Order: sequence, then structure tokens, then C-alpha cells
Amino acid sequence: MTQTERDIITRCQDGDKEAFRWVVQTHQRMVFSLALKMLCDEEEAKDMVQETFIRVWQRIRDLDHQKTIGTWIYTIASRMCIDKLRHMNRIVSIPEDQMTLRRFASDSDNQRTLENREWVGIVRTLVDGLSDKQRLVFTLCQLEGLSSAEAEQITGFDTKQIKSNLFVARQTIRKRLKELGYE
Amino acid sequence: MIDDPVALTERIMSSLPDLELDKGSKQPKAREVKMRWWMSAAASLLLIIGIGVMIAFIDRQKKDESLVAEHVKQEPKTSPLSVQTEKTVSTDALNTTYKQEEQTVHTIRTIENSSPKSIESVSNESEDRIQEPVIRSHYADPNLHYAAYVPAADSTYQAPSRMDEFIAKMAAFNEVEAVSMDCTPGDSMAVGKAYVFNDKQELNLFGRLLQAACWYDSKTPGYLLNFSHQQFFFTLKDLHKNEKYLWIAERIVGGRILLYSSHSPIETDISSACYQKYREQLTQANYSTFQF
Repeated sequence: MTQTERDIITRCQDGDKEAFRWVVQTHQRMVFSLALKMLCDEEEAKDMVQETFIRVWQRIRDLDHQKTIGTWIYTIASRMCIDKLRHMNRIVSIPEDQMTLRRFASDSDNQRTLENREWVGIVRTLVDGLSDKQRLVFTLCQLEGLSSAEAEQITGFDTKQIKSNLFVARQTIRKRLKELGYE
Repeated sequence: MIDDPVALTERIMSSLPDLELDKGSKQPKAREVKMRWWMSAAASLLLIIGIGVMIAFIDRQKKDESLVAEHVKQEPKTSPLSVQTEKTVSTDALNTTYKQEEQTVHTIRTIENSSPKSIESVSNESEDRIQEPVIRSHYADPNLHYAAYVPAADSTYQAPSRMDEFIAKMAAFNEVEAVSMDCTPGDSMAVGKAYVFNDKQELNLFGRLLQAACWYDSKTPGYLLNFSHQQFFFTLKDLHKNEKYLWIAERIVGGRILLYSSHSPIETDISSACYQKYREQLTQANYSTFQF
């Protein structure tokens, strides 16, 4: 945590909402990205961002200055997403999602930024059949691009759990892609 | 990815609760609940331990009490502070010289040996004299234990004169006058009295005399009791006053009972001649002379 971050956190802990605005602006994209891939619904993801930052605000005094605020926010967001998934109906892919995946796979532009609905479609297709934990680890490590160490800090899992969950998730997705005709 | 990040930020910022209010209400509440839970758990644990300890203590106290009770029960048998008893027993040979042999029996209980150890020492005394009982105690302070209490006086002493008092009262009640008899002329210390009672069943003189004789221990000096339906004969000695006592009761003709009582110094020889004479006066019959 940088000195600037530390000062802002201190101000937030003193109840300074304007300081907290900086925290929201800096990390809301990250939280939205995670929530979108976990919940596969744009509006649900926005609600999740709002709920996550309210929770962060409420717990801001518990934040240890030794811990990165980004990781801490990720931890809160991932737990809230898991809770949300438990109360939601099972996410299943629809035929349109396969079409989206097919378009993405045949696109020669590998640097193209996917739109939200494309993400939702692809993720819904890929993660179908994964458990919540496997889904979280796969999202963090494969879709969000975090390291295993960061994933351990966020989820609270140890290295072995991260690796095993990630391995099973990849195997399941590979099998799923094979079923869909991708080699 | 977020179509309108500013709008989302504003939405978030507008929905933030007041941290000052939150500080005092929600978060500490959760901590308080946890703290209270742990405190109640600890209090319950302490309470259970306390009750357990108390029950164990009460059980142990009961055991101790029972042990103490057993000990107290056994104490009179084994206590080193036992009563030091010393009895003076005189055996009367019932001979005319009235020489006495006093046998003193000491019972001593020592600390080292809890069982009573008897040491008998026999002392012959040539002259009759009152021997005060010797009280010996291993402990200077008799208040150390109530069992160590030793009466200062000889509690077994029963004055033979009480027999005479009883007879006098009985005679007064039945309106019988005593006849004074001088059996030893010139000796003012010898006293003799005769009573004549009506032999009534409700009076039951023989029974009452026998009852009075039972006041005295058979080991009382000079104790000699002989009775039948016709006669009652009883002698005692009072070593405290150096006197001897005699009571004779006899059923005589005319439905009467002649009761003769006398007391005199131990060394005085008393003839029963006067009594015999008086009896003959009453019955006109010979009667053998009692020697005592």
C-alpha cells in the first residue's frame, strides 16, 4: 500500500466520504468485472458493486494497513458473489451464448475488447457445470488474470486448493468445449 | 466495461450509510454479541466448575464428619486424657476386732499404651483411719478435656445416717414414737432407738427398709444385709465419722414390727441385751442375742 493509499484509507476510516469516492472510482471496474463473470448478469453485477462498496465502507475501520486495499475489496466482493450465487437460480447457458462463443472463437482479432453481453454469454457457456468455488478460482485466475498468490489471499484457500479447483475447472471447460465441437 | 462509471459511483456514494452512526451501532454490536457470547460461555464454565468443586467439598466434609464422629465414639476407649479413677475398697472381715485391710486399686492409662494398665498396690493399715481418695492426673489442666474431670469429693460416699433419717421420717408419718435405749451405759456416743410399727400391708415396712438399704453399695464399709419374711438385719460403717450402724426389724406377735436402730463409735462393743429385754417385754419370748 502506497502512502497515498494509506492516507486515503485513514481519511476514510475517519468518515471522509470524499476520500472513499476515490476508492470507489479506482476499484469499481475491477469489482464489476468480477461480479459480471460470477453472476453473468450486468444489472446484478452493478447491484453487487454497490453492495460491495457499502460493505467496504462499513468495514473500512477493520482494514489492516499492511494489506492491499484492492485485494481486500476483491475478498469482500468474491464472498458476496458466492453468497449471491447460493441464493440465485442455477446459471445455465442459452443457444445464443454458444453463438457468441462461436463468433469470438472465429474472430481473427484477438485483442478485441468483449462487450458485457459477450462476456456473459461466453462465461455462461464455459462455466456451466462448475461449482461456486471452481467458478471463483477460474474467474480470478483465468478471466481476471490474477496470480495464484493473489487468488489465495482473496479466497483464503491454500495453494493446493487453488490448484486443484483450477485444474478441475479447466478439465470441465475443456470437456465442455469438446462437446461443443472445439478441439 | 461499465457503461457509465460516474453514474455508478454516484449511485454508490449516495447509498453509503453514515459511518459515525454505523460505528456506534452495527459493528460494535457484532463484537459485543461475540464478546457477550464468550463471556457467558466462560461464566457458565466457571459456574459448572464451581458447583463441581462445591459438591466435591461437601462430600469430603461429610466424609470428614463421619470420620470425626467415629473418632469421638472411640475416644473414651483410647484417649490419653482418660479419667483417672481410684477406688478405695475396704473388705470387712466381720470379726469382732474390726481390723481393716484396705486395698487400693489404681487404674492408670498412659499415652504410650492406650490400653488401661492396672497396678494394684495393697497397703495394710494397722489402724482405722479415713483415707481420702488420691486423685492423680497426668495433666495439670483438667479443662483440657471434659473427660479429664475428676470430682474433688468421693461421690460414692453415702452417709449411713440417711437410713436413720428415713426411718425417723417414716415413724413420724405413721405417728410412731421412738423409744430410746441405752445399751452401753456410760457411753454417750452410743445411741439406740426402738420403734414399734403396725404390720400393715400399705406400710410395707420390710419393703421400704430393703429399698433404703439399696441406696448403699455392697462395697460400702461394714455392709451386711440379711433379710427374710420374718427378719431384716442391716449393718454399715461410716469411716468418715468413725461410726458403725445397725438396724434390726422383726415381725413380732400382735401384728407388729419391732424396729431397732443403733449407731456408735466403731471401736465400741455394744451388747444386744437391752434390745432383747425390750423385745421380751413386747413378746414375752426369748430371743437369741445378736452380736455385731
